[in-house]
Amino acid sequence: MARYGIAPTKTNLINLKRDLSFAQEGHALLEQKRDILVSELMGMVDRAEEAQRKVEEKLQEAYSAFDEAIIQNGRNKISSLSSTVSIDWDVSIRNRRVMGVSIPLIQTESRAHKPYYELSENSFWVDETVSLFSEVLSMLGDLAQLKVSVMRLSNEVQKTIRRVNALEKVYIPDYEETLQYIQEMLNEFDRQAFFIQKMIKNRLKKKKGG
Amino acid sequence: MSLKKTEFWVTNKMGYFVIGDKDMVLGFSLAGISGKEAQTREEALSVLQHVQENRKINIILITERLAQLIREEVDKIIETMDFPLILEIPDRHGPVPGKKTIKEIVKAAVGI
Repeated sequence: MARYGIAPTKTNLINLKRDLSFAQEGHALLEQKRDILVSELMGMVDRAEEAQRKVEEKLQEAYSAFDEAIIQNGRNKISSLSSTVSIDWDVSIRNRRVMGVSIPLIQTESRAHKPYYELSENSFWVDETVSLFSEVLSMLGDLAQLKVSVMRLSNEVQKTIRRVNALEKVYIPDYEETLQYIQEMLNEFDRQAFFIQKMIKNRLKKKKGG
Repeated sequence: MSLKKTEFWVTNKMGYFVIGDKDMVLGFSLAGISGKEAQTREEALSVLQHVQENRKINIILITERLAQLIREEVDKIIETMDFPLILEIPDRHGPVPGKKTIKEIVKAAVGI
């Protein structure tokens, strides 16, 4: 659908040509951006899936150990124990930017200040729960990094694809059609001017002869 | 390929926070992580807001079930904000059925 409302003048022709080449340049750049993002994304998907699967398995183990601990010690005991556990988690996040998308790089560290409680009065399952949940947490940094990156990247890829398509399927054809229209009109004007000149010439000749 | 990379340290000495059901909060507290229980959408939102104001928390762990109640807010934080990061994890009843896997998210976006 071309914008025929535009006046078919030489100036507009030049302006439109400039706009079109700008749009084409943008299209090429966006295509490049899309390819880079997709390759970045593809490198992460499998690792993210793997990390997620591992975390989910470990988490189920942790929950069942937790259940055992509750059964043996009671919920009140466990919640009073939980306040004695002292593990420092240190999470640092750096950001890497890939084509305007910020991708987190997460590092986790933990320092445990053992022992937390009297060993004699607690069951094996309490210890097991503590260590399993700690394991889960140490895996979560990785998973968070991968999953957030994948979600942000795929979001950006989606946007970029939409832009590339809009340029490719709507804007650029639009410009090309309008350009063609202006070019045709200009040619038509030329022919008209030429024809009028001829006519005037003929009339002048007739007048002279007659 | 010209990747523009700028790196900077956002912070150090930061930690996790758990928003979830009673068991998850208690379980993670056994590993030294603080958390808050939430059951309804309103509770989850108020906890989330509270956590966001606390600059010491940079990874929020939330159950998938709760995340589904506040899907819009969660997605907004994941997509637009550098931190805190939000990670959805299954609660004790396992993954929510019909949850989009990572592959499916990517497939929807890229179409491959």
